[in-house]
Amino acid sequence: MSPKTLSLQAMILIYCLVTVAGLLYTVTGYALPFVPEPLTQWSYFTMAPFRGYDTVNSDLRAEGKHADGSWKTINLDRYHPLRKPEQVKLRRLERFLKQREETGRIKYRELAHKILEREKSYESVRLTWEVWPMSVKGWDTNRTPDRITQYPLAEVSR
Amino acid sequence: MNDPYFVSALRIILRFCGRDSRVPAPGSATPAAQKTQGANSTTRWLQRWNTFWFAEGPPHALAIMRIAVGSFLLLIFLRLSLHIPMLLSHEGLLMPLYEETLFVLMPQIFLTPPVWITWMLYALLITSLVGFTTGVHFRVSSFVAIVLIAHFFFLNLYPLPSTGHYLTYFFLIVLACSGADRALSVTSTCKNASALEVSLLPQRLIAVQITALYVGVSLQKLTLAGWQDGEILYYAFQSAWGLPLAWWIVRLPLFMTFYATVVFLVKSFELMLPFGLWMKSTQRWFMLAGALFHIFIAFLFGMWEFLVLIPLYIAFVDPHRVAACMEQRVHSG
Repeated sequence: MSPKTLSLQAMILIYCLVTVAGLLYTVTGYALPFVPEPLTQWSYFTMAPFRGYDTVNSDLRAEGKHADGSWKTINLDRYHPLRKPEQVKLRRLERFLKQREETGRIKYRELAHKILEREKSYESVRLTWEVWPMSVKGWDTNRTPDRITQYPLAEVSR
Repeated sequence: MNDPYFVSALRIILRFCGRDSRVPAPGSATPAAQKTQGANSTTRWLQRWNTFWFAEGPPHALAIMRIAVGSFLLLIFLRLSLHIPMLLSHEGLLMPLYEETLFVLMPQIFLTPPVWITWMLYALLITSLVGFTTGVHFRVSSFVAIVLIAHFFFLNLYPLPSTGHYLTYFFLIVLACSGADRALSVTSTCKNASALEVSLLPQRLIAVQITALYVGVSLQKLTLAGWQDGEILYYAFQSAWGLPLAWWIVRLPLFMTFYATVVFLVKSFELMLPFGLWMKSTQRWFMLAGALFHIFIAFLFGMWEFLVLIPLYIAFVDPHRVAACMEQRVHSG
């Protein structure tokens, strides 16, 4: 067997092993200990379905504070000029939240600073995660003060 | 071992695996004969393994996959073209993932790039994807595309990819290492290289990966709590993912039984799909059904990324048949 064939055989075996590890992790949540985690995760990402569902919709609200003390909502859509679900995904910072809650807080402060740098007319910026019940009438029909639950994330000043 | 039921079951399995009745019932042959038969069986198994992974054939099917993956990636990145400064330069709200990875030593100019650097890299990516799709400087184009897509992913786009995007990136890497540029490309037209035979390993990898996708997705849906009734569909239609068609359906006066039935049909279909795609007799119908399934997903939830799988179903077709079909079309045309 030539070295080329041997290396190809090894590569195929590794691929099969990683795929089996990904399948096992996808179906049972069990990660094979001898397969490196990034490879299992990679394989999982290539076969993971839409796992569950929410009965609520959510999005990030950014507000800026004027010199007179009033708060005004900042339109984040121009920073995330994509479809609504993609905007929400970009704002959720899920990768960082998965690591540790503290990491998520730090990252949201970093995001708030970046918004403040670009929004020169405000003295402070605060970020809040808003959650509201779904409605068949529209995505943000129930995004009203009486139906929103707010989770403060970060507030930064100049 | 002499249990007749066990022996019959074993024979049926071996016959199903194509070893027919030449394998005698355990205990009926001498140990030496058994050893030889065992060795033969292993050799046959290895032959099948090698035939599956290391066969050679015409590059036409791979070329079609190359064009499909390249065009699809071009569409994804051209769609972002109007928003490049906001999404990928320091004008926007970049939250790079680099510091979480081994690439922490990446020069700062690439971590918070000025707009001109971003545009330069973006133009390079589009050029390389055009090169990949058309087969011009195929290896270099593929390598540049693989590196730049990874860079943009770590820079800011990492929250966006779904399973479909990850698969497409995997297909890009696999095709980059293939002879997919030997047919239906600018180079093959110039040198008439389409008559060559190439390794079919990349085609097999793509087929196995698509199989793993459907098997993994369907098995998990069988066990996930959220997929045991119709609510997942009902609420998904009202989520941010819902497109006008989904909103129209969810506003209809339908019972939850409707959604539960659709979920049951989806799970059953996804479970059968990989088998149907491998079997020659059912291949055509499952390809058609798979295409309709992904088109529906695209129109309901805007998940266009799975549409790339439709042309890639060609990975399940005998490449000689694909080549013959294309030759026939060329001659008749």
